[in-house]
Amino acid sequence: MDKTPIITLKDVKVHFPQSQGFKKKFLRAVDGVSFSIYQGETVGLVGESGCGKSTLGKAIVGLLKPTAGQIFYHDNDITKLKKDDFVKYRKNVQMIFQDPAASLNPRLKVSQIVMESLLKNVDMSKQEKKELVKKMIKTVGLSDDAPDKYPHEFSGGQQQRVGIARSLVLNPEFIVCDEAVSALDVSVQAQILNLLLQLKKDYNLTYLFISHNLSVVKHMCDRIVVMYLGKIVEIGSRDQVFENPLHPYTKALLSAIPVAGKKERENRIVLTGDLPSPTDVIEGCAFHNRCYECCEECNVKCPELREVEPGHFVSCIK
Amino acid sequence: MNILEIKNLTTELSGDRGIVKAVDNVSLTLKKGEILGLVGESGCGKSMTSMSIMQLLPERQSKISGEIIFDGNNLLDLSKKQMNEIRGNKIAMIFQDVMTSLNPLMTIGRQIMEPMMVHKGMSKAEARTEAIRLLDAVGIPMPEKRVDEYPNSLSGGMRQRVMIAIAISCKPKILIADEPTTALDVTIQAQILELMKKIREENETSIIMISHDLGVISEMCDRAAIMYCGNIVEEGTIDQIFENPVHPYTKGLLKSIPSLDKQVDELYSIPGVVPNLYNLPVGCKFADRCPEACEECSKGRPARFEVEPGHYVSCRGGIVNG
Amino acid sequence: MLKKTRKINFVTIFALVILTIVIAMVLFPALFTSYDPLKVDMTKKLLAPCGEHILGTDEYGRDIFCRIVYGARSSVCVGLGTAILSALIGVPLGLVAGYYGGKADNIIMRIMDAFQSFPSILLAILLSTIFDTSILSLILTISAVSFPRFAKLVRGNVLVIKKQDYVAAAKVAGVSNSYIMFNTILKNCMSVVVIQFSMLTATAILIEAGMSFLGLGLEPPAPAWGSMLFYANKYVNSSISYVLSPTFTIFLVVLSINLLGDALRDILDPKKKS
Repeated sequence: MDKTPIITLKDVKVHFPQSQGFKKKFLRAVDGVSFSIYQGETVGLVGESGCGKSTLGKAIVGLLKPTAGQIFYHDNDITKLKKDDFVKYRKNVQMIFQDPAASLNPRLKVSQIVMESLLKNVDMSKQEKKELVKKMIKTVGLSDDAPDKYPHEFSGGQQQRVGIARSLVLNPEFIVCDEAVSALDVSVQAQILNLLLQLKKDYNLTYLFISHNLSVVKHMCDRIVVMYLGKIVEIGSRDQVFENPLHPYTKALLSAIPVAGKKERENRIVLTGDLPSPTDVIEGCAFHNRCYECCEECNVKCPELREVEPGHFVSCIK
Repeated sequence: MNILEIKNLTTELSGDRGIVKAVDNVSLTLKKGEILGLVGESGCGKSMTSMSIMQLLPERQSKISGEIIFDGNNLLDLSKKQMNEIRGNKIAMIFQDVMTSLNPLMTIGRQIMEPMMVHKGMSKAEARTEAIRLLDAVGIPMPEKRVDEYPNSLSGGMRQRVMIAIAISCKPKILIADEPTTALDVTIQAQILELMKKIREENETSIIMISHDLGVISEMCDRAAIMYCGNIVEEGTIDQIFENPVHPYTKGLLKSIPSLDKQVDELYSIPGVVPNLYNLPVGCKFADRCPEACEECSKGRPARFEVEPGHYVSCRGGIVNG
Repeated sequence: MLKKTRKINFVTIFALVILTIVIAMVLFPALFTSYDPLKVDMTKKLLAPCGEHILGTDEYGRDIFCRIVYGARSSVCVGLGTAILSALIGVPLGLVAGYYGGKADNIIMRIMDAFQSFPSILLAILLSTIFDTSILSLILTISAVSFPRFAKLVRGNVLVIKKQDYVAAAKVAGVSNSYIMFNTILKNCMSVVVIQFSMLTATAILIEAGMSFLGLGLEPPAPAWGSMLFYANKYVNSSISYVLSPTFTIFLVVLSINLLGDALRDILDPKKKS
């Protein structure tokens, strides 16, 4: 794999102001995240709800503006792009949404939905656009009569295929899959995962695959980023993270997944307590109140990401 | 000892395009202290089965036939009043959507106390002491303080704990859990599953666990039933189902989950889509998607037979192979 | 059991027939009657319905049926005119306020509050002193108090719709803000807009009737359903058909407009088509 980064995040922060009575607090959805995504790889972004993984995905496709930090697409900082340049960026960076039913406009036909991507800034005749839309709908495995139907006439899996066609029609370089299969049933999920892998090969795509489902992430991804409360706790290749997890949170997460066909798992780690509220300012390590390996130093010292082995980073003082 | 026996349960619902059989001739038994899993994809009728047992379906739009024997009575023959006695008291239920299942305008304590005061005739003071004990039992820190708080101060996992406290407050014989952890994160899910196991140990409660997650089922349950389009296609102990699946649908489901141990290039996926309930095939409902189907399969519904002791399959292929 | 929903059912056809007749009355009143709505004949005061005058005559001996036919023009103009004007101003304001939020939202909504809290009767008196009472001044008056409701309703819907994933998806597809507002979001608000439009048409006809009661309606002798009702009021004891005719007409038309609005909403919803 050649190592050209497509997307580079530098200390990205996304904070949302929240007013609680008279006090103004900030919800730190993403709080200082840095990593790179290289050409041709699939990066998995995992974590529990509220850890900021979806917010980060939205910031990368430009749906949200980061409060601080930079997001580079190749060498351009997208947070500073002018409107015209941003449109070019749009063409190359697309997104697949979680809920296929909610992400398709119920008032439009499938062909119109896919066509929406081509409305602006594409140099093509109307006829060419129509042909392309038709071709794309076929590529994602929908039948010939699909273009003239409305989204509600399809099952969840088929709706997600429409969503994939929409993001693919601009021929992007990079796609953010935000929980793209978590609303689907197991058997349909397998179909969509296979389709995504096939398209990656055919169109030379790079994915950021956001999911809470670790077995899906393991199947799809080359590298894994684990987030907790807006911060990265561990980054590594698939094998590094799954075979040799270093952060106690990663270990707990891995041991918590129920596996079909395995009755009892040895040494299961059951975390106590809940996620702290992201509006509270936490001293020290964000995970310390749930950590089973926590020591006194953890309560005061905020750990930094450090490289333990080549390509494997962890933010834990141990 | 069987605590619940369901015989030929059929639930018909009227929708905007006619009548559908959401549950089609389902027979099940639940033993004392057992956790039974009900698995299947969305629309397979697993939730409808539990709603039929509890008789929570709108009367004008549903028709339930068959028998549901509990405590020597057929629940379908009971009057509304008698059913109210059982619901929440002897058979309790917890739901998937933890955010909306609690009344936001009532204190947590009040919501736990209410069923005990109604069903057990407890005084307010007694019920309050019991509520605090229950909150402690389901692992809520500082129960004396929490008892007077409102649900909005609780996280999803904590709410599900409160729901469980309400459900077990009258010491039910059966607890029906409809996707109890689907809305929760994995680490919280692990906590709730541990809690449910503990409740089973302590009170000998029988649990019907409804889930689409085969992992949760295999970890929690003693036996499981796989549902497809309103039918139970396979039923057996967890080992039988996961080690030696017989029905092609079960096999397909198990193969289509990405595994944490093995890495494959392409996942197996069951071809085709779930048939429309309004327009079901005459023969086996799975025949169109089945890799092992033969001509016979599309002619009539398959019979149910026992592959090994306690392991039942509804498949014609099974007869030939087994 | 739920029945299949037909695209256009009996009730809708009934509404369509009524409204077609009304529109024909607006365009070609002479087709329906050979009388002159303004012709006074004091010898035929307050006649009961008979062969010659199917709904009887009023206190000046004018044919009531004829006045209803000719009154359709002003009543329908006031109704539709108000609805169109209110929608044209209210819908874009609501879209902008809901979509952009923040300051724009605050400013627009406070202005809407101001308009809504202004007493409509006072406004009517003001406008009628400036302009003379005409159809136009009635439309302006009623619109001035009705369009904020349009804006608020649309804004509320936009607030819900703009959080939907398909709006985010449209943004990722690279379309412009105005496309999202006037295409993606408006299409999905259409059902409430249509319902509000039909309700406002009906309400405006009723408000016109109400203003006539206060003497702020169209000036006599011009025929309008509202003012007819106002004058007929004095003769309830002598001629029952005089009061009932405009009442029943207003009732029938308002009902039809509401029914048609409901049907239109269903037709616009692709989920109800198949």
